[in-house]
Amino acid sequence: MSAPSAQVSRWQQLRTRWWRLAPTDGGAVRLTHRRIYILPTRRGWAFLFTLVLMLLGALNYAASLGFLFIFLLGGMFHAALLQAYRQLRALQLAAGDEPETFAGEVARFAPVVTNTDTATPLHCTLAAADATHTVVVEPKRMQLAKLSVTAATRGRLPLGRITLSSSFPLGLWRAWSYIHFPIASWVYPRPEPAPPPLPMHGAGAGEGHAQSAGNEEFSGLRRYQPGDTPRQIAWKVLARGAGLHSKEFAGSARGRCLLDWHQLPPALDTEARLSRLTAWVLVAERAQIDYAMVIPGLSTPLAHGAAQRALCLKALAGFPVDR
Amino acid sequence: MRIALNKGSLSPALDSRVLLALAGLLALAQLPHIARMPFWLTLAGVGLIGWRVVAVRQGRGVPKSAWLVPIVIAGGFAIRWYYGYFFGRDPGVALLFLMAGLKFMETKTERDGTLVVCLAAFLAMTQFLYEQSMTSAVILVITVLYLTFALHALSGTWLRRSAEVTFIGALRPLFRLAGVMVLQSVPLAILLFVVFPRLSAPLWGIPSDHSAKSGLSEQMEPGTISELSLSDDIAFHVEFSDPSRIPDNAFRYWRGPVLSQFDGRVWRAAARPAPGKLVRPRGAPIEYLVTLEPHQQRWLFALDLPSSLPVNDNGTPLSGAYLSSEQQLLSVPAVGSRLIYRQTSLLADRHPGANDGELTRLVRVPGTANPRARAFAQEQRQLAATDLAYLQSVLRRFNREAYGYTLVPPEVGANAIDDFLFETRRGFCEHYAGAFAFLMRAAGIPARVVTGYLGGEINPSSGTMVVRQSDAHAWTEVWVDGMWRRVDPTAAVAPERVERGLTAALQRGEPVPFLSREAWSWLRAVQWRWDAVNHNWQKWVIGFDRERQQSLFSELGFPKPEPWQIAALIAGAFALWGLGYLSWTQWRQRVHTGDPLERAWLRINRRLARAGLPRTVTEGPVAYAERLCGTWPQHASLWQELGSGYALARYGEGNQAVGTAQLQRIEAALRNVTLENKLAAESSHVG
Repeated sequence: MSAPSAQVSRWQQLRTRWWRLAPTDGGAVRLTHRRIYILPTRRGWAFLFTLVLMLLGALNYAASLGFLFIFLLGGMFHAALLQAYRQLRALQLAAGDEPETFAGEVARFAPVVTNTDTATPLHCTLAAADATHTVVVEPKRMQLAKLSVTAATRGRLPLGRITLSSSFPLGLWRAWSYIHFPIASWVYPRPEPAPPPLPMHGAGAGEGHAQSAGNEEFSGLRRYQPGDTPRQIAWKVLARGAGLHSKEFAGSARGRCLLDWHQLPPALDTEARLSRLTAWVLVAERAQIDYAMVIPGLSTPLAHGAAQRALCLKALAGFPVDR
Repeated sequence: MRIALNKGSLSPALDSRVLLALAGLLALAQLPHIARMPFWLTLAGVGLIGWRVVAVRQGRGVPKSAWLVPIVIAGGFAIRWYYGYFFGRDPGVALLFLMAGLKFMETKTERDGTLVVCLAAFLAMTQFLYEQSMTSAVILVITVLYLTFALHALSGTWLRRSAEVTFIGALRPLFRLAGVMVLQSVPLAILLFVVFPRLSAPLWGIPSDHSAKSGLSEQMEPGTISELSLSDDIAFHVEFSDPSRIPDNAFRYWRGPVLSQFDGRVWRAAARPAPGKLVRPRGAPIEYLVTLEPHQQRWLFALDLPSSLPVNDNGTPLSGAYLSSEQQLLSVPAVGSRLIYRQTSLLADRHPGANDGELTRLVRVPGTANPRARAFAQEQRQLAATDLAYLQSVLRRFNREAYGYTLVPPEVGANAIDDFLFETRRGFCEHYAGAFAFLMRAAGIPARVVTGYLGGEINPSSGTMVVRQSDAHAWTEVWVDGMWRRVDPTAAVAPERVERGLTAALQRGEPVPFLSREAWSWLRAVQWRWDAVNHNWQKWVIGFDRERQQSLFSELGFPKPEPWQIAALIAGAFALWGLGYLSWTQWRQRVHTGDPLERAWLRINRRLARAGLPRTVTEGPVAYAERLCGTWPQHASLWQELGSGYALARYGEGNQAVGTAQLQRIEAALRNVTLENKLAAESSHVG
């Protein structure tokens, strides 16, 4: 209740707002003067320092042309500020889709940078976490920035605050802006490199995981879903202009499996179990085998396909960490 | 140590094309200095750059920094040895010249590149401490443009683009960029140039310029002035306040050093001329503005006879200027830079003002040289009734007997005046003035030699008078009847010299200053035009000093602005210019966006965004219209018309003009509609 604590919290609020510490941005963010910061770069400071030294010399020798030279360079320094600011002012940034990845790989975030200027190509650099990407966006175009953030552990990996900066054209000033989208990547457990064969039930039991989808009988088409392999895509259908579809095979009739947490060898710890289950889900998907997964707190119906895969992998990614 | 090295390598290595761009910058900065540098330094400074460029071409690396230390030390010592001192302009520039080359030789990273750009900028600036002609101004503009390009190249964006297109294709946007940025900086640069405070005295000493300048000197012996007569160099410019009162050629005696000390051979000026008082002959003074070229001497020039002390253009007294008892204008600091002063004169050829002690010294003729001239003087004085009659008899002798006026007099012996007066009888103004003053003194009449300029030409292009070194002249002042009288013995020999100038007075076949030759009249016309431009350049740009700045401030109604006012003005101008530029680009963007249909669509988009429902980046017109219908169903027909109208006109079969009209109708309808803020509406639902 005391005044100081109110002050602190107010200060915290301001800090959060200024530095965009909280993911408060939604939709497409158009950069405005309120969120563009600008300061000289190290080169800018060095250049400014040189100008001051030069000014002392010109003053001492009362060299008029020297003054003119220095002031022209000073004006250019100022023009560089305006140009750097202009690089960001016409930019619009949208969060893009949430990527997915496996622990130990990189999450490929792809924010959409739009240049709303009608005449000038804009140069900017995006940086978030350990990823940076420099893009040149032509006028009235949009471009995907590729931010590949290292995903170390499974779970949710928020992209965090994006720093959008530009020191175009002279590298004397750096204009930057913070954008914080509430997006995160799903980081699935690292799949076990060489998992044991799928625990098969029914027709396919004992046949192992190395089933080839090509041997199976074509059963129909479904809409393409991310994760489908190129071999599954119905290229002829696509060529007819009917859109992207994947071929489904009647493999499910030939086998199904139960991926049961409780039936794994007791020696495995939690992470190893999650790794194995992840690997199995991937194998089963590749082989187009129906599967059900049972882990503490979740048991899925028997199915395969993108929805089933996402349901299982997300459950594995979000599994509570061992204490 | 290892850590530091690693940290250094974090700065990315420079591309070879960027290195070449930087080499060009350094060459541009070094070039204007080369003529002033000793040969070995030019070789070292330029050679280091050339070496590196070749190394880059051949893909070789940079030398170890251990090599550089001895080169730096050796260079420093060599410069100290060559110039004789270390702290000053010339050795400083020489060191900078060398260091720029050395730094370039070991440039590897972007950070090195920054240092190279800064060194090059500084080196380029120092050329204006030496040379401020209009040619320098052209170099200035080129350097600023190139510097912009070099910084751009260093920042890497140039390469990213140039990798995609051809070389010329990469250069065009580059020059456009540099041009636009320099144009943007011009108004601010001019403002800063005008208002930035100048110093009244240098912060540290300006080294004296040791180079000899052509011009009058403090002593006169036969040959000193005739040497000058071939020089077309400008001594000073004069602008008369009232063009109708420009004196005739015969009255354009520009009074300079008064040589009152004679040792039997050489006439000298007093070492420390005593200050004197202005004599004020009656009459209306002529007012004029003198722009004196630097001559590294302590005297100023005024029409004979000065009637005031020189003042600055704005009316304040010229600091350090005073009048000697010999009526000569002097300046305590030597005139080391172009000096502008306002002066008044009365055209008088006689004036009072001498004390007895001074007069007794002015009859001294030391030594025993020239016995014939001494005897001649005493004899002639005896024959004449008065001093004045004697004076006139000597002039008559010069006029009637076969004396000749020439720039190339014959050789004379040890008794130079005897030989001249009685044997060769041919000489230049210094011969006549010297011999005449000698004859007066030998007869006991106080006399002295006055040097300066006689003449001056009006530039037909500008109306400004130009006085050149070739107008240098010597005449005498003789004390007769309690007055100093100006007596010009040359006028008795060659009246044309006084009335029409040097060329008219010389015989055919004499060497004549280049520009005075009749055959070159077209060249003279060009020269006059050029001189008019150059004079204005010198006066308004180069000569824009503290005094001119203050008089400009006074004219604008701010006689003495405070430093904070100037600072506020500069800061305000920078801010306004920036805001103006940014608003202008934004406005232009709005006006030039797409076609009328697009603009109407964007205007409606902005209106709806203000109402709380912005279109998302990826949303098409139909989808957006659906969303609008969901939010404000009461205007559903409007939204449907908007979505389908725009989509049809833009992407479908619809006519664009019809679509535009349709959108404009919707826009008008929206003006009369209050759209409940969607966000507010949502929060009220939640509540």
